[in-house]
Amino acid sequence: MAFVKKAPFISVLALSALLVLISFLSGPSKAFSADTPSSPVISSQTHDAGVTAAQAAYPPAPKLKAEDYPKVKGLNPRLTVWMAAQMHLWFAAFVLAVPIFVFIFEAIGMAKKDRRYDSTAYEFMRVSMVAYSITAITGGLLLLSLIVFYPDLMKYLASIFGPTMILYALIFFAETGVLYTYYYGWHALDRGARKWAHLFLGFLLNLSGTALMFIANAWVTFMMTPAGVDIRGAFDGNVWHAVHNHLWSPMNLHRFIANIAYGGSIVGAYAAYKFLSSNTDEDRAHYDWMGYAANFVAIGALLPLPFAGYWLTAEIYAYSQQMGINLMGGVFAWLFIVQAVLIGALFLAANYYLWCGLSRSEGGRRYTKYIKYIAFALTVSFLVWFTPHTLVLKPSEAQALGGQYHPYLGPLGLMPAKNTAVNIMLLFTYLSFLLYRRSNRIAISSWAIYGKATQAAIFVSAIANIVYLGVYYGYFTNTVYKVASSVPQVVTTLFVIVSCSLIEAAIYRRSEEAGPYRWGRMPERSQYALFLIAVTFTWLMGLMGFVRSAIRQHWHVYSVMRDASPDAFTPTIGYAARVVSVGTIIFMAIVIFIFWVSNLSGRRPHGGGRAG
Amino acid sequence: MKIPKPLQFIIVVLVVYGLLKAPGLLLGKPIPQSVIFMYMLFVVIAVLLVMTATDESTEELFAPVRALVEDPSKRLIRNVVFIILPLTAGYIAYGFTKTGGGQAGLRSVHPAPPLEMRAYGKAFDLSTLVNPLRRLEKEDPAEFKRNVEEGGAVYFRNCFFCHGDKLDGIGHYAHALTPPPLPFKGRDTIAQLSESYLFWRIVKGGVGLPQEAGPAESSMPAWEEDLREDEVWKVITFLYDYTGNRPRPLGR
Amino acid sequence: MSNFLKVAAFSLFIIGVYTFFADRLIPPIAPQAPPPLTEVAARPMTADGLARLGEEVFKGKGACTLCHNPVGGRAPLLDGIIIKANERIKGPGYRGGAKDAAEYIRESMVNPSAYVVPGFGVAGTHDTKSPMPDVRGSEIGLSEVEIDAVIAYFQRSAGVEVTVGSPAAGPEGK
Repeated sequence: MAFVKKAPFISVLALSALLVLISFLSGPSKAFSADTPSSPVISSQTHDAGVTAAQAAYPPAPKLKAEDYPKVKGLNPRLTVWMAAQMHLWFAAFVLAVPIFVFIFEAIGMAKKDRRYDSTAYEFMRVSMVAYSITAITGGLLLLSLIVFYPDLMKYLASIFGPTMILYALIFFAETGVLYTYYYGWHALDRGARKWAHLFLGFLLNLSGTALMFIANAWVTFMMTPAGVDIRGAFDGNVWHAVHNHLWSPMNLHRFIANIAYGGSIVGAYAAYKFLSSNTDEDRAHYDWMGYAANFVAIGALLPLPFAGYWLTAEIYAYSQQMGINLMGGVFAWLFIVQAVLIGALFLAANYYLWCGLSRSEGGRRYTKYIKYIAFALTVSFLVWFTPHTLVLKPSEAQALGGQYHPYLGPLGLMPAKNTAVNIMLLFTYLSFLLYRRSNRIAISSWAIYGKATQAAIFVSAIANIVYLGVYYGYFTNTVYKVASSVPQVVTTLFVIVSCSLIEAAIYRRSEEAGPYRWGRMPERSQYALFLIAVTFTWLMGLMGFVRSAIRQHWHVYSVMRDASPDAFTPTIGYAARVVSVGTIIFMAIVIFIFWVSNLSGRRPHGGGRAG
Repeated sequence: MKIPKPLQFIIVVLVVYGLLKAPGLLLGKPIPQSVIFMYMLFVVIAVLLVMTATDESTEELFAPVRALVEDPSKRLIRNVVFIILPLTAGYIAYGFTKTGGGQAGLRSVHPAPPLEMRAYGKAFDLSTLVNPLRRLEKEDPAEFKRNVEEGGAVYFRNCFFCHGDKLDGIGHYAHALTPPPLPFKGRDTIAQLSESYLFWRIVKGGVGLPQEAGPAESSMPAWEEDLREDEVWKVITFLYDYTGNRPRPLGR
Repeated sequence: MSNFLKVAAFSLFIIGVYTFFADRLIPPIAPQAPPPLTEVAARPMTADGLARLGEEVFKGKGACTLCHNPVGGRAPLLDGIIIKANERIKGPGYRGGAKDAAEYIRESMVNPSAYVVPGFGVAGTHDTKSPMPDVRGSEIGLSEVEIDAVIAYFQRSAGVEVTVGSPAAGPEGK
């Protein structure tokens, strides 16, 4: 209780410290005058002619030596910064995501006049309040460790991004204000026009949170694909050039979507835990519903993520072939096998949760016999997806095969096979969802049978189309078309989802219940699927964050500012995995602490105030 | 007749395992153990998930396990199982760690060649280098045949100790080498390579391999000290001629 | 509390499986160590030395063969580049400012977009923009000496006289 009340002061304190540090950094480098570049004409000229006013004002990036990096006994600089950054990212992702679906839930609650949504939205806010302070604290830690261990890099970045850093701090202040008004004003602004004002506050909260993320993304993406600087790293004076670099937009989109999925998974795990420890049917029903809704959000946001990822990768290639090759073809090729395994686990868990959900209604029994076929298709696709192209072989196996490639498995290691597999996985996950939605309904329209036949026809032909596109264009035409086939495949998948959903809605517009539908009638083991999803998301974020950062290799700012510290080398995937695992465990421990604390303050007389 | 769930589980897992093993046993193209391990892990998980999706089938699946652990009348079987289980786990662990089969690793058997190679006091551009004897095949078949025969003589004086008298990679010393000497028969080695690639490999040997060919180090000698340039070309001609393979044309 | 322990054990188990997979089951490939910090190579006194340095740069620091190789088709092959260069600068489509092969190679290295070999431009730019980075800055960071050395290496490979960089060839064009 006391801790929660103090939270505003802690974040304001952390913030003030941040501001002081930023002004300290940007002070000596004239960053404050940088947003009005004296002569944009000069700055846009070529390097040769550009040794004039603009470059005189902005020196090139410093060339560092090993001695330029402060040493602190007992602390590994890179590991410290890595941990602080990872913690900050996990918490930030969580606290950026929660307001998004709190806002959506509040709006749905207002539209449907269903108090259940409103109370769930409020509960989400309550459990994540402490996380805001922790986000600020880890952000402060990250900044501190960067300044302590990499002062020259921070000076260089501040000389370019100074104005945006001040803006960041200001927006942070605004966000903090909105946040506390939004949360503490929830019950005061509960009716009529006031509720609308409250909803608007929620919108402002999201706006400021997203703006914060976009600004911070600019700094990170600048380090990967610097823009607005010449080849020596001298800044051209226009902050927008540096902000709007190659990766900024794709990174904004990718992180925005991923945050929603991530927030959903954490809330799902929270609901699952509350479900397991509930004593009354009423509580079980409430947390079952909450877990379902959160999982729906998480998986729904997961589906478009690969496409945002493609864009990000394409931009990396567009910026630097070398960086792209490093990412996909070289040392990190195996990391994508690990990623495939983790995402496969996510899909299996999500499907399992839906299958278990069939038992919420007596009518679900009709569909349990289809589970094995869905599982078969999912498993086969999954196995194809993580079949590596180059195999780990024993010498005897290598001798039998006469090479590193397998005649039957080899084709499965290529991109067209994997794209096909992913699309089929998406389709069958959707099928699980469709069956789950039907579990409690019996269609009574006379034409329902035709509707279902149409759906089946769409489904079958879509799968045939996807396989045909993958096999034909992937293996029987020349290279140019190989990747191109992925677009029509995705379009096919989307078409199935949209058209089948429309038909589904029409069929079941008039329907009757198949049996009593009971939230909370869910086996306990199904809740572990929610835990797996949360843990997997966390771990996956850590791993992919590693590779995003690692393809910079030995550069602070890629190709512009060299990392001369002893830690400049790229660690192996195994080492990164161990770091990420330790980070995940620490993060999970803090999250458990947060939920525990928030439940101390939120404990009410039993059953009171909970809408049913 | 309905097969009980636990038996279904065992059957499904065994059938999948059999399917994965089949290419190795029947066609001589084994699926690597590392891949089978991952495949089986996920197959077992998927089957378990399907069978525990409803309460009834979960109950049915685990009933024998529960009976085994709890039923006092099954004491003998219980004790047997509890002895067999750790032994099996131990045997599997032993199979993973025993050194006989050599360590599994990622090795590029035919790594990308450099663009250019320096030997015999000059530079060879490997992307354009052709076998000077190859044109004789059409222009002067008798002369070509003579070169092939000379190449055979070179082969049996130098190479056959490891690569074998049938060019099958099983020479006298082959079993002592890791990685093993490659065969020239079949469609997988020289049939996939250009003659300039073979020239590079013979002249520069195992020591000249780039890093991606590691971690195992090839014991192929670098022949530039012992064979003349024309001898290398002759032996290459012999390798293709004897095995009936055609070199891969240059370029892509 | 037992619920808490079960969930914690389950989560730790999952993390353990992922760690085991990423750390033990996939092959441990050690990424290349970063190139040494000492940069500017002393200018070799002989044409031979320059060409040797050029060969090292071409295959190592310059990372040229990453794209200029017969496998990927990302960039034009550089075999016989001296002859090709002489043809290209006389060709009708040539837009750059080079007068001879050495100048052409230098121009391609420091200002790759000056002339792009047809078919190798960034997609959608009709060969007006090259995907190749400026070798001086960027991730490669060659010094003037090293650029000269690469040119010398090409000239030596082609068997023509080395015209760049050596003291005999006069002051470098900086």
